[in-house]
Amino acid sequence: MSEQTFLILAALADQPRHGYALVTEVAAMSDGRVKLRASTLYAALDRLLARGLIEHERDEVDSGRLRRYYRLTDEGAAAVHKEADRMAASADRARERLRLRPKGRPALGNGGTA
Amino acid sequence: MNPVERYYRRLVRLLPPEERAARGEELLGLLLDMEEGRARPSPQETAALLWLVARRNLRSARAARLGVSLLGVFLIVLATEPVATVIPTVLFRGAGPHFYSGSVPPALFELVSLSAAIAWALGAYRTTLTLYTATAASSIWTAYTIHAPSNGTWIHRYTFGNPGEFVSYILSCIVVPVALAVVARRKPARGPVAVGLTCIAIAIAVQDFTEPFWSPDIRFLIFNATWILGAACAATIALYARRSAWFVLIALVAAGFVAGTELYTLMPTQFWLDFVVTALAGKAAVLLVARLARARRRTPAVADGPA
Repeated sequence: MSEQTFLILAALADQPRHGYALVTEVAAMSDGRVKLRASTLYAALDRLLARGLIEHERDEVDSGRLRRYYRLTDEGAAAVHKEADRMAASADRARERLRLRPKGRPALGNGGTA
Repeated sequence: MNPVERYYRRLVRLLPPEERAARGEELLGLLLDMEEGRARPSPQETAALLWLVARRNLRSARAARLGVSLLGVFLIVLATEPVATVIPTVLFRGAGPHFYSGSVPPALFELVSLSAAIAWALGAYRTTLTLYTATAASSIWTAYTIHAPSNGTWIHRYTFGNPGEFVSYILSCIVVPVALAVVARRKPARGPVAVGLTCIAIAIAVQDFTEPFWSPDIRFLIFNATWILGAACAATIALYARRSAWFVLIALVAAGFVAGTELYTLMPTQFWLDFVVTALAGKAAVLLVARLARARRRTPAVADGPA
């Protein structure tokens, strides 16, 4: 699961959201690092719908614009859980390795080639 | 409606009709939400959207239909090429070094090939299969015939200098009838003949009106571009044509003439596989354009805005 997909699913975990709300929520969750384009989000939503991880909840028209709300399905929630556990396990392993790193070792310059 | 909205509506119209009807307004709303306050559309968003449109259109073109299209260009190029040789041969015997010496059998052979192409354009696939199989068998049989201008005997134009060329030619003779047998079970879709007619006009214009200005460096490229365009529009017409439309046949012959002339005068036989691949690439491009053109014409839902 890509980071974008993970963040989109996670953004839907607490409540249904429409496309633009998802874009802003994903940006907030990633501290502005992940900025979704409209076409990217559209394609991702299409994929997630097809896989049954999200579903269409309702449509609203606001200022003449259609806003389609999506919500996370049970399968989607399970997928987010699984991915979150995997990422946490990977992070734990990385921290463990860092703790084993010898202290006082000089940093390598030039990408380690010097 | 502000210019940004008008711009994005145009882009969303390029989505395949089914998808546009189902989710076009949603995408448009999202685009406008994200572009709030901008006086001009974002170039990055435009590029990403065009890429999305291209992928969706290609995905919606079913593999079988794409296969029919690709086979169409192969067959049309293969069989309309003789038009460029038969007509000058009949009108001006011995007009050029690449034309036959005027004997009857080759002309019959070419006309049978041409008939196969016309039959294909009309949707008579079984007839096409029969005719093409006959020409393929004849081609293989005459493959090693030696031309002797001095005593008037004729030769099939494909002469083979090595086993590789011979095998590639034989394969093309065998593969096309087999593919045709498959196609005979399907019917190509009908659609915008106008696209093909426009392409023909462009091809002829490029060919006739720019030639005096060509430098030797770009001559080959322009010839190729013209040929690809001509072949592609011939296949497009064949793919989308309504049956029994007389203007389609005229357009097909015109396109075949353009394509065939370029093909025959410029492509040595050893490039046979190369130009088949080029033709397929050209057809794939035209298929996409044709789909986009058709999608553009069926966009009332997005153009009118949400209810």
